[in-house]
Amino acid sequence: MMRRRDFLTTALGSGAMLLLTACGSQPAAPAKPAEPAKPAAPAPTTAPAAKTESKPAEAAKPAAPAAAAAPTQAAPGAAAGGTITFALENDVIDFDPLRSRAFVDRNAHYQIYDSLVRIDESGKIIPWLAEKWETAPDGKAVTYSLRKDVKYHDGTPFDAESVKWNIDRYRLTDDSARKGELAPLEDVQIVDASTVKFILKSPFTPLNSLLVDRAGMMVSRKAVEAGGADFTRKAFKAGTGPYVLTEAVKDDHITLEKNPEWWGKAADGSKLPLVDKIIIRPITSGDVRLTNVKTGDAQIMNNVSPKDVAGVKNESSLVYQEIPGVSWGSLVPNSKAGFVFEDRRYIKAVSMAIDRKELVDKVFFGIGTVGYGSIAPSHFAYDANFKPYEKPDPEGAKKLIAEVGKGPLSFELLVSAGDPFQVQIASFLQAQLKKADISIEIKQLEFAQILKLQTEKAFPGMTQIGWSGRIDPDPNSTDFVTTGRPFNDSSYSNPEVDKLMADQRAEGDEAKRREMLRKAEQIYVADDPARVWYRFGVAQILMSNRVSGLKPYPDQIIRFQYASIK
Amino acid sequence: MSGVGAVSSSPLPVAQRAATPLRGRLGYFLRRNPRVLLGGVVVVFLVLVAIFAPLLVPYDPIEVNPTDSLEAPSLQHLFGTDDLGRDVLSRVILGARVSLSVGLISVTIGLIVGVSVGLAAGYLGGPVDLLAMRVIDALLAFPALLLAISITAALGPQIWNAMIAIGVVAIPAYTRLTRAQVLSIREREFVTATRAIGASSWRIVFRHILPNVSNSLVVQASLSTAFAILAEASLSFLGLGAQPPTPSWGQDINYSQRYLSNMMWWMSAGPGLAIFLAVLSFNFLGDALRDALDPHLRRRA
Amino acid sequence: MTEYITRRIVLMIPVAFLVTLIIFVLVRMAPGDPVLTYAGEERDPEQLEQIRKSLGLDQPLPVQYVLWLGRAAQGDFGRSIRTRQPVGDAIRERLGATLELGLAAVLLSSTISLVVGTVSALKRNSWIDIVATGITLGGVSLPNFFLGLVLILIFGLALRMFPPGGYVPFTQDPLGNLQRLVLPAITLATASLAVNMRQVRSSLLDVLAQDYVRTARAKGLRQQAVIVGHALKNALIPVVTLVGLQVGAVVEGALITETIFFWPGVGRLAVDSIGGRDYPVVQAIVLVSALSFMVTTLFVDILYGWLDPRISYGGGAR
Repeated sequence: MMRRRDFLTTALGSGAMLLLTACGSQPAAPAKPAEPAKPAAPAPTTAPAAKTESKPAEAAKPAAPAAAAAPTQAAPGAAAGGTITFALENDVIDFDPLRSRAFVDRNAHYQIYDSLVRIDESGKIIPWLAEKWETAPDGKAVTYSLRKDVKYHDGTPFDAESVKWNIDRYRLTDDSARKGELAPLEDVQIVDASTVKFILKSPFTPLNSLLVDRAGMMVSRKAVEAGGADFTRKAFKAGTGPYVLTEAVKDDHITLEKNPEWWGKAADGSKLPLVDKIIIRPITSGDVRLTNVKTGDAQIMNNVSPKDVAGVKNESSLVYQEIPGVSWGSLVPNSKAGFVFEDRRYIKAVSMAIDRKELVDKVFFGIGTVGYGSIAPSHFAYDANFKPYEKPDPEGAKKLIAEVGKGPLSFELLVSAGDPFQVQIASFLQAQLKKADISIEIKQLEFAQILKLQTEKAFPGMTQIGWSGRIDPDPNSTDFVTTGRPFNDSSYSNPEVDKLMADQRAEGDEAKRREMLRKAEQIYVADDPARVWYRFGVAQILMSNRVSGLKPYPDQIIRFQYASIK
Repeated sequence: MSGVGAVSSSPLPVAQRAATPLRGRLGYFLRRNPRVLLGGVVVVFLVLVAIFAPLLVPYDPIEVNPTDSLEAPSLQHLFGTDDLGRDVLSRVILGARVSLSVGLISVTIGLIVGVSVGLAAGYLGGPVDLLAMRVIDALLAFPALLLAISITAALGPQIWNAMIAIGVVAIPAYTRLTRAQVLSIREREFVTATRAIGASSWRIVFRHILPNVSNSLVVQASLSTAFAILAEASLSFLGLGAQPPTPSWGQDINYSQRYLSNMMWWMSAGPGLAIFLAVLSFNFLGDALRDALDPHLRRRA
Repeated sequence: MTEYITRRIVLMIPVAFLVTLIIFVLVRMAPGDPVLTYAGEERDPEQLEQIRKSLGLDQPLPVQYVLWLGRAAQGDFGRSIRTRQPVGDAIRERLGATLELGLAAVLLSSTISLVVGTVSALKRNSWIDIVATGITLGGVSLPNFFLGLVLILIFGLALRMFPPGGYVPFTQDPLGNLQRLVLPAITLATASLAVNMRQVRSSLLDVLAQDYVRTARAKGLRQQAVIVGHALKNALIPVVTLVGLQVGAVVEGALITETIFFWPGVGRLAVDSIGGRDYPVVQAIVLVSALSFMVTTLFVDILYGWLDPRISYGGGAR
């Protein structure tokens, strides 16, 4: 009767839907059985072969700074082969470095694309696609010598013309997300097939630190033009990197396959990468990610919730590694005229009153380090002795507020909505500030809305916003504290800071640059605060004990070319 | 789908109410329907807890105590403490205020607006009726919770907006009830006669229409409140209701669910049981009232 | 009958328009700027303006409404602001997971409620009846997210019988898929189970008390024959209405269940999109749910009226 018809219709409809969806969402599923969990046992016989085999072309290469293959990682004699499943905190939005704006994207980009330069685990710039570089005496030009043995996954050669095309694309395309980063660049000139010259508008020392990441990633022109508008999701065979993107199913998985022609080598000269396949699974829940790694459905993840860290350290089947990162958390005040924090002594009072150590210990379970400024522990300019607010000083804060003479301080703190973690931090801050008679009202708003208010300089009190971090202190600081810059949402303006930050950008001598950065930090953190920093984040890797060869990097991104799995 | 969606219908004749004094009638009524008494007692108890919450809490539900965080239930903290060191039981007690006030206020909104629209539509008929019922149909086209979420998200995550949203979702049930009643009575002889004598429309409404529909309205109100409390909990769970540090049952569950994988269950258990108890009592009361006030209703949905 | 159907459909049209209008207004009212979500960490005002133009958000509202409606009618719901994927694709990819969950829940709920409801009606006031009534009341009163969390805690984490969340496609790993289906299906089924059980019981009781059933019994037909032959069929009418409506409301119930269990369905997409101010996705999902709910209701009402002309056309229990 009706019941039969209803169910029949529903059943048929659902059946049809399921079929359609199954077929629609996994175009290559029949052809490529993705191995989600148990990777094939690595054939031991390939191990010695992987060690000793080397293409004649590679052997003939001049040993350009041997650091090119970042030697310290792949364990000698590590077995080749196998599949690693990587549980990532979110799906990749954009495979094209041109418009990519999300941090998660970079986790895929680093495997598919090579950049002109990269960093080693300590954050130092090392040669990559560029073997060496020379800065002109006036600092306005940098000449890069490119590797000659590199090809794109689709077979097209990597050369100076390719570099120029890529950089110009990043600089000049209308909605390029790399425009701001490459603004100091005037032009890119081709000197010869393997030499390029970057012409700068004025000396700009942090140039390499930008070229480490997306602004320096080399993409195959042929692939981009063939891909058209869909390239952003279908960037197949478009890079020169250790892995080739072969499949990308939205919110399901991303398949990366070994690039057998990759130019990189291990310390002992053996070819990299070792692992045959990397499967990236986006899993937004930290708990589900962790469960997947524990059960072996995934073998690696790079974002472990602080509350789980102690637990995973005790798991014998897992290996947890952690190093200081470059991200920081802060409270951004609105110092524009007419707002509470116009008088920046109030900012200092808040900075004095909060208990950073308690935050790190209680909210973050001890993960991360207390931070006072924007120069992170892994930056060359970091000063471990710079501790302007070592102990919380509510009395001092009270005195300072009394000095201002406008009565007790109270303001509104905007917190990103829907994240219990952020609310927890804010609640702790609220309790700490109460001890200094500072009262705050916590208000939750959508992250995008907070950004909007910040951009318009219209938020009444403070916001609780952090920064994912960059490997050079310049992009980690300058745009936040220099007058009128896009990320300077607090409307902070200090002419001395402006001068110091501008000078350090042009300063070639590292020691001198360090001095300038520290001097500026002293001002915008302690003497005349721009905002309140409280913590530096960490870079973590949690992996199954079957995986070896990986170490965390300060930018949190995993370098899979060194990995091997048993 | 009971609660807001379920519409009870059918009136009791007015004449039955005769002249018995209210207290006597009430006592007699409760004695004959013990389930109503039971349900009523529990509901009253909950309301009292909500009203006197600040006096009843063993600890300050809002103050942060970093040293006591994440403690399992013990004699000092019957439901343990949360990650900010706050006593869970105290938060549950204070949370009753939010849940019950949202529940009752939103139902009141739904009732007042719904009945008014129903009266207007039924009594005035014609284009007013046509338009009003189309709007009601449009509201009913949405699954209830989805509509509540959409409205709250549109107005902004705030406790007041949650009340409005749930109230709006509740309106159709009352409108339909009232309108059906109006339509059935409007053409009855005694109404025509009353009008002929010159009685005003208001008089007809208040003396004849409303009393006949009041039984169903009471039943519906109780069931709606149950749904409203559940809806508020769901909205808070999704972050769309009361904002911190105000304790709210749904929100506390949302904020503590991530600790479940660490086997810290008490932070979710307290508020969860509270929601269950509150919704259960209003549903129980509603069912009991329905059985008591209208035997005809027992057989239908 | 045809007149009834036509009238219903004609009345549905203005309602459908009202529905689209309500959705459009609600979504646009929401605080927050989708341009900034789309822009991520970008701040340059020129870039933002460009993005605004490309998303079509610089037009006056009535124009946006008409454009949206026109495109939606052709199946083009625009692109997601968060992921830049065509919305239609995003929904289609997830529809399977939601339907799977919903179907499982409806089957579970219908079967259990039929069996238990029937037994409960036949053996009134027995312990089964009392337990069933208790479950009915309890199931309706328990927030489904709490039930879900309890199930995860007990069966997923403590006992480790089922995975505490996640999803693998059936085509890829049938066992894994079903394992992960159990807990969310139970969670989703519980609320409707309670209501269905009560409905089966009460309508069966109604029918059993009817004259013709009593006559049949008096004639000596075996009780079972009576029931199966006559009572159940007639008692099922209101039950089926309910089930039909619940199938239509699957998205709503799935909203929270999918969120807790990390089930990649349409419900979870809706919740994420509302949080992320992803207008096109939210509009599309709410529109599709509301319209399919309307269509299901219409369908059910028509069949209901056709099968049992005794029921008046105007009311319809809801």
